[in-house]
Amino acid sequence: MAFLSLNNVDKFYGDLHAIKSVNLAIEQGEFVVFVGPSGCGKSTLLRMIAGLETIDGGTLMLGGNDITHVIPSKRDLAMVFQSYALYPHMSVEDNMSFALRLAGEDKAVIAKKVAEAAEKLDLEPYLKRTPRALSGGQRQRVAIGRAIVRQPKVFLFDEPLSNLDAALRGQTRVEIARLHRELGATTVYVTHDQVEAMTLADRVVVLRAGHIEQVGTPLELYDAPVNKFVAQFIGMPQMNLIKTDGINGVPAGAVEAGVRTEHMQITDEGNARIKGTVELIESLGNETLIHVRPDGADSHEMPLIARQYSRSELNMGARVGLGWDDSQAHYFNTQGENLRITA
Amino acid sequence: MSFAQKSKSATVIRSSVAWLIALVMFFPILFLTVTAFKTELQAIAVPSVWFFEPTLENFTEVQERSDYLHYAWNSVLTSVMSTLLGLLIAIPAAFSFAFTPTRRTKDILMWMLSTKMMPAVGALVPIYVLSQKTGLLDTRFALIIIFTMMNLPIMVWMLYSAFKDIPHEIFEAARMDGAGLWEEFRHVLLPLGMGGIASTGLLCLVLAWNEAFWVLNLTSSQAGTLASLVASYSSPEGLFWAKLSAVSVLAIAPIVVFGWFSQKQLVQGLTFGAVK
Amino acid sequence: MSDAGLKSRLVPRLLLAPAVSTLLLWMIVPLAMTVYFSFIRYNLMRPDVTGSAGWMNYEFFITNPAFGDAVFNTLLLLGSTVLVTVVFGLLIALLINDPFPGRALVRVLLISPFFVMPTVNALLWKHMMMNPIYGVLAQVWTFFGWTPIDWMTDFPLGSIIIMISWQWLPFAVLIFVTALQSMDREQLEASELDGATYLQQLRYLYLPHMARAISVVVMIEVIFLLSVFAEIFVTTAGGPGTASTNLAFLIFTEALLNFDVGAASAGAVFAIILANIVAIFLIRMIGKNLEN
Repeated sequence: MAFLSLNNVDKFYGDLHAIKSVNLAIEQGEFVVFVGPSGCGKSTLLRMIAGLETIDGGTLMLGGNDITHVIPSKRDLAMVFQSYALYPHMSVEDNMSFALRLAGEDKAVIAKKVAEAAEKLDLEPYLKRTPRALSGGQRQRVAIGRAIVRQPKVFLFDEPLSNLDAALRGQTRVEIARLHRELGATTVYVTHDQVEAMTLADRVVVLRAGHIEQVGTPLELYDAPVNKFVAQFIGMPQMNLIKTDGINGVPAGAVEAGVRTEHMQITDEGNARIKGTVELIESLGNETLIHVRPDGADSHEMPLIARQYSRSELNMGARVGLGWDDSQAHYFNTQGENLRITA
Repeated sequence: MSFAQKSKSATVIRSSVAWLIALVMFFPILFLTVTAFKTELQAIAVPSVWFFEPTLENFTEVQERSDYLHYAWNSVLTSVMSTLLGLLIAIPAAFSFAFTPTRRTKDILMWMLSTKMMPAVGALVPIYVLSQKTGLLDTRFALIIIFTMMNLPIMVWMLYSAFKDIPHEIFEAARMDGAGLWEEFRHVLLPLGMGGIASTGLLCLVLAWNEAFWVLNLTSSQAGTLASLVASYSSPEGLFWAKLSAVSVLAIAPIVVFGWFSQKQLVQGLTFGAVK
Repeated sequence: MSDAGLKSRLVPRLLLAPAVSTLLLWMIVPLAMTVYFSFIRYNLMRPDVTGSAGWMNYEFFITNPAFGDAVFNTLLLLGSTVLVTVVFGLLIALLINDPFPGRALVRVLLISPFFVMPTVNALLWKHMMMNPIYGVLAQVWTFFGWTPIDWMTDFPLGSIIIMISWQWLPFAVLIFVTALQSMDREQLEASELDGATYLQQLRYLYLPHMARAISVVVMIEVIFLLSVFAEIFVTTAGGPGTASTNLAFLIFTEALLNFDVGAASAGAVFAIILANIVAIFLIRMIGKNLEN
């Protein structure tokens, strides 16, 4: 029996079926990340777990109890909001201890727990300040501290890093990973950033239009996406998609081939599978991205990208061939299903 | 036209015009106040006298003749009590509108406002009859209830636009932290909405203090407020300006001075969400 | 229905209940009584005359020559005051938008009339400002060699419009000044680079930015000015003739001066209908601006 399980969970907004019968089992101590494009329902799903949105169908179980219709404060979950949602009129200390104070916890115990959390998060010098006097990163840590102090059964994060600048985002990401290692708490984390998903998650849940496309470890999703959507959503730059008509040696039923940029090989024109012209070369130092426009492609189609970990001698406008190893390619049928997985 | 580009003379002209307008706007109040310290003869002198020996005679006479303090106390009591009662009813409603809006929220708000557009006179006869039948005619209790109802739509609207600016997520965070409805009120809404609540209260205090229609029609000596005291000094011939000025100054001074000090606070909520 | 689901629906309604129910009572009870009175014979001086009146009260009220004047005066008073306060309010707000020496004091002086109670406002203007012999305006007129105006007799409604505008202009200025402060500086600078003149900035940047604030001012003023009473009561008493009688005052004269509750109630029904027409018109016109 899973620690936290969603069984055929539904959400309706009027006629809109926002969450479509979602099933998911999360083990104790697991770090699960929900990703998907905006509007896919990932935040709604998280808020349903939190109790901030009603669950219109199905059940939600936590530690063996049915909490489908329990009010948020009785679920024993803590949430870190995108906007932090700190209480602006309270000091950092009061923000972190609010839940404990409401619960009527002993003063000495509260002080001890707040002090511990503050130490873990390097917030000790700021305990007496109000959130207004803190930087974005510090506010973020207070929000996390507020969650930690309560020692809840599950931590919920709703895009917690999206208001931080790039450098801080990387730093805070590492910090969240460290905290999870130390606390071992079950965590559900929503993001639209696949880097966060890949680096933080034990398992990633990819959502689209209110239902789950695939659940798996980050590398499973990368190496074996069940369909074209997941394949394109995970990985940066996006996986190349190539129409297979006119290309030799593709499996029956395939209409498109998906090849990750690092598996796309630049060859001589010779008898390459695809011939084209180099359109752009992005030299990033450690890697080089070579954009190739296949012959006969419309100008509004995405060019194909090959990634090399060495410098390139090519010039723009050069004629090249493109090829790939079939064992590293994915083939999709008309429904977008990955033939390698479904076969 | 950015500030830096304006020539100095333009600023001088602009500020002089502004000062001129402000003085013209304020002049009637100044004149009223000065007249209150004149004798009746000085008061109607043409051209107006500006330098004279001020007298307090008018003020003492007003108090002797009509017990100013009685009316002032009625004004304080009715405006403060109706404001508090109104806040008590309006805050929960505005909270509900702001944080659990439904498809009908806008309609209910508009309906509330529309009750305010119906002229009070439309309800005068029924209210008069009802007050008479229940023995509430000329009582402060009736005025408090009426002032409350009169200001309620405006209060709900003002509070609603103030509460709407409090981020939703803070309430959700409080809910996750274990706050029930009362704790949300006490620890989040009240401290964060205090600005809006204060300006709403201030405006309603001013409106209740200055209310004249119901006071003139439903009260006489018992529950009369300063508005009715002033009206009683109005004589068709317009004589006794000095005493009229004295009683007027006594009637408006508390609320005008109060208004000056609370001006900044008042304006914040007065915009009814017109300013983002 | 589950506990949490029920609660989440019930609580918001419970919070609304006191406000909605008291307002409903406040509206329905007098309205019902007014409608009832309007169909019976009910004169306080003639307690012996009772019974159904049919449409007689309405007929009586409408055929009263004062009725048409009163409707006209009500709308004229409302329209002119709103126009005056919005136009001058905008001008003054633009004038004091940028800092200048003593701006804080100017604001305090400007806002003061808003706090003056209508009865004082009316008496102050009637006697000390507008008296044709001793009044300040008469002195000003004499100073320029003109014949002083007998305001209350020659321009009764105009005088009342002046008094009420004096009271409500500060309100408009306050809201407009606050709205101007949120004006986007960069937008103005960009328009300068695009070669916009100050007038073009007014037309294309300031006015659209102020639309919401103007809606609020109009809305609030309509609410308060449809039923102006005290100013008329203590100055002109509706006269001379019906020159300054608005609907509110006409109903008052019927009810409390002529003691004809029936006719007054019929008038009140008209006032309510008029208010609703204005309200619908208003909500259609500017309700959109008040949406977020």
